[in-house]
Amino acid sequence: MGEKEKDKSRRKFLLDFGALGMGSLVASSLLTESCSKIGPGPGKKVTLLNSKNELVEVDSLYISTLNKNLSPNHNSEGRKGLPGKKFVLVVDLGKCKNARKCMDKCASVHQLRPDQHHLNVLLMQDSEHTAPYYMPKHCQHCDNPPCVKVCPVDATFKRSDGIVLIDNERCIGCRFCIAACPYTARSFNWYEPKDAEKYKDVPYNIELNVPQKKGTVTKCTFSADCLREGKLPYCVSACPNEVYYFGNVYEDAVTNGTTGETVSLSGLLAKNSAYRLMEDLGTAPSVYYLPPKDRALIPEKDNENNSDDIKRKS
Amino acid sequence: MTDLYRKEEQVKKEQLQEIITDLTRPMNNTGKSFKIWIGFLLILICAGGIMYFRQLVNGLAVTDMRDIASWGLYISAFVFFVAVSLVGSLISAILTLSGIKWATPLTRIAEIVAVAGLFSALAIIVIDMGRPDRLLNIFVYGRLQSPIVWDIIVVNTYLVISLLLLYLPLIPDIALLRKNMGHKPKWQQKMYKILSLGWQGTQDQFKLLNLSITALMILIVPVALSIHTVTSWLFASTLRPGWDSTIFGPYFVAGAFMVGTAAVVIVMYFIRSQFKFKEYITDYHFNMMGKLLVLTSLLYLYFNINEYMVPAYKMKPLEGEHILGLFTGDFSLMFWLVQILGMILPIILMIFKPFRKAKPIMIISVFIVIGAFFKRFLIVVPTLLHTYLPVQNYPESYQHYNPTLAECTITAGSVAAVALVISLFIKLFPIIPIWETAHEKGISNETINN
Amino acid sequence: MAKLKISLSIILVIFSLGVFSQSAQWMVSSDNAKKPNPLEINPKNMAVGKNTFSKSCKACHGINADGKGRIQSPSLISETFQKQTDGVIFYKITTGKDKMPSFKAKLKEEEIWSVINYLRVLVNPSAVPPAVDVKLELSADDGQKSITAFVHSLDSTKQPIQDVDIHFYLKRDFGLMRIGEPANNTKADGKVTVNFPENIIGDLDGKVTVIAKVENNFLYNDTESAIGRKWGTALVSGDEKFNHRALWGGRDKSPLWLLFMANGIIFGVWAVIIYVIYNIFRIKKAGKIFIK
Repeated sequence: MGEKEKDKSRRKFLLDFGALGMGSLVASSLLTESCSKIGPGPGKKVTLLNSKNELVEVDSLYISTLNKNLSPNHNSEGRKGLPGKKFVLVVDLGKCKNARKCMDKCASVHQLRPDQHHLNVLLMQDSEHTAPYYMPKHCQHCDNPPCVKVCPVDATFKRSDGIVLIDNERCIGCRFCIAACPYTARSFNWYEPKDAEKYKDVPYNIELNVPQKKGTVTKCTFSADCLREGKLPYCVSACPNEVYYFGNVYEDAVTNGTTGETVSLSGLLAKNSAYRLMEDLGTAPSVYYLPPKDRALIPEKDNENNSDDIKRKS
Repeated sequence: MTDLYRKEEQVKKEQLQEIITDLTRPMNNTGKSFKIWIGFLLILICAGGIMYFRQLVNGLAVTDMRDIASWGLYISAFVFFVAVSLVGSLISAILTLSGIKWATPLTRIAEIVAVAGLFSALAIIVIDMGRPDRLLNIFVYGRLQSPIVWDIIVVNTYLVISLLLLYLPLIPDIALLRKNMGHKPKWQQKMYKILSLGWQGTQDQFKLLNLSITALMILIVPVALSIHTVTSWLFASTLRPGWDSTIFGPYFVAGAFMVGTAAVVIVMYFIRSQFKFKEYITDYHFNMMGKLLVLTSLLYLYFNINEYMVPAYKMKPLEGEHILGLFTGDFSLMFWLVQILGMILPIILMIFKPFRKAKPIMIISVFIVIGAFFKRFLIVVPTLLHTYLPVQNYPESYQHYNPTLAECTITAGSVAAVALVISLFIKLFPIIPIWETAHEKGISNETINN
Repeated sequence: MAKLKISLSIILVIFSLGVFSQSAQWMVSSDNAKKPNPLEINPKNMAVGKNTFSKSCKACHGINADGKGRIQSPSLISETFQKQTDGVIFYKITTGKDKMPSFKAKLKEEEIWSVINYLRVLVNPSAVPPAVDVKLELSADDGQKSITAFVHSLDSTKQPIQDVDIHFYLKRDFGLMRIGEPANNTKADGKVTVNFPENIIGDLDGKVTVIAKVENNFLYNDTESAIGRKWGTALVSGDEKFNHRALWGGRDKSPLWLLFMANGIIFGVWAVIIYVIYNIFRIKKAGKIFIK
């Protein structure tokens, strides 16, 4: 392999590597920098998590520079938020057919157990005579977050870009935030996390909130790691049904994760009479819902195993 | 004249010696039943300790708490212990400051109940933590906006004040112990020597002592109110139906006075029957404590009516669901047992004098204390189970909360720890103040000090 | 008896067949199957077809229509699919079944027929003439706030090309926002102009990037060009808002009233406690003096 080719393959690896997983920790500028700084000679083999959430063995030579950029400053950088942005999610309830691709993707990237949800698709019915509908429910990333208010140690915090994150390395596991959240958006690691042994040596990433740690709270991150790279969140781009729009409030634009179509946020909200969940609680969520009209699929109550599950929203 | 004086002095001296012998009896006579009692408590605490070790290894998964009911028995027990500890301020400060004399022999019982309750409250809150290894984070990263931080500050402050208020009135007694406990092991004598501070009973010393005690008694009242108010804010500061209430502070404080008074009655009863203290803890004391218990219970009843009546009248969807869950739903059996056996029936019975005699009021107090424990459970758990949004895509068991054996054992261990602290205190220090008792019988300071 | 058995089993067979066909197959009447495609295969229709495909089909059936989209779905370039008549495919798209939604309300009939043509061309690329490369140039008029696209041939003659549909976009954080009319065809001079919309938010300086694209066009290969202008409203970042003291703020951002209240109370209470502890030492000292 010629020197040039070798460099190319390294670059490719780094780009692959940086696509979603561990490498997403660094901005692309760091990636190019790291490519030019690769030291001489082969090093030890190191096990790492790649973009597809698989463990790969990599020559340490290829990651040394990256690693230096990751820790530990990355996690303090992760507390700040991306400048000039405030993220917003718009969920078109008319489109959701309960395909649950978003839930699956979320659970796999965040290494969640089947009974843990950062994102939960609920079957809702507002009142007796209204039709049921499916409602994907994320953390609402409130601007007045009741969960952040009560945290005793600053483990969960709100960034300037509106994202509410949690630091698994600081959380003391008091679960006050779970009790305080009216949206049931948070989950606790009651058990040893899924594949804990496998991810034992993987450094913690505050924006992806993995590896999960026993005895700490975990929650939706709005895929802050993707956003740092200018990509849409995992759930948004996993949806096959055009349910999700995601964007930056400040530039008044949201992009549909399925079609890639970008529309004006204010226009979308106005045209569809958007609402937020439990507006009266004053939590000021960053997630908007478009009412479930013109639906392709209206769920039947009797289809569900437990029709008691259908409860009104508040 | 001098003869008469000397004779009187002699009588007083004998009287004092009698009081000392009587009141140090629990420290000198260790019966078999007491050893069995301590053994029983130690077994409970050890069982709790073993279960806690299991919890440390396996995580909080050994409990039945899950993402919906994320607080359970531990937090209920925490609130219960904090409630019990409030009585220290009620009896040793509020009553004493009001000039109520009959409470004097009970102040030390109340204070040790308070201190023991606080120790267990602090222990159980650490037990409830997912990461007890990160306890220090509270001090390193403590965030003043969080009611938990307020709670930690006030509970520890209250603990310090309670310990001081337990210790300061003990100083003259310890000085007496130093003289009268020559037969005790060396370490114990040394402890008395250090703790007695070289007490000589001079006027200066009494002046300083009384000044300090008065300062603490005034200080402890607002601090005591704030510990339970802040504890109630752990719930009331959230948006959850059933907790989102403005009267939670006084509601908790009233309940705390009730359960604390009942706890003191129980301890009083066993001290009296175990150590034959009929002369010092008289039927009059039980009668008066009974009246106090009626008063605090009525206050709590009033807050209960307030707390349930208002949302039940309006029946806002979620509040209504929560209320109906208590009145007629999953928790109705526990709710009505607690309300009737733990509050309403005791009030009705205690209005009649025969029920304020030692034994009946002790039994009533046991019902009140048990009821109060489950009452805390009814405050914590049902609200968590009534979420704003439907509970879906979770295992069916997430809709309920049934404490596991591990949780029950650990909680039982923490209750046993309260009893153990009180029992050991009785073995080391006079539970009825010697000096104050002697003083009330007209024995002068000079006689006591010589 | 035997007769009854036979007739019963026949009924059963018919019944089960009916059930089977209902769940596994689309029942398309011959009238519907024979419906002819009213559109011819030409580059203009192809563009409509390709656009419609990316908008409504791509997510599930995959970018190559091979069924490898976000969900497992039938391949549209397989022989089984392609041997169906246009009428059958049209019927299926309009009615839908199971996971396949009905597009009756969502798409116009021409769009559906165009998509069918597009799918035919996918397996038979020679049905349309090969596309050629063109050059796309952008210019901006600061007074009018308008963008003009000029499409011309690659050679030095810069021959203007008429009737090319240009897609104009505004660059946003996560995608491109369409501006201009639904169709912006170049005039005889190879140019088309769109007005910059009102109330567009740019970056912190108000700078916006407009991108013009020739895409999904069957006569011309894809090409694009971008131009930056300070025509937008400057982005108002709310980052400052997050530095204010608030109950949800960080530990260094607690509200002043809380800070004063909490510290005042702590200081007041602990002053008394420390005073009492000091008194304990004084008591001890008083005892020592007495001994002397």
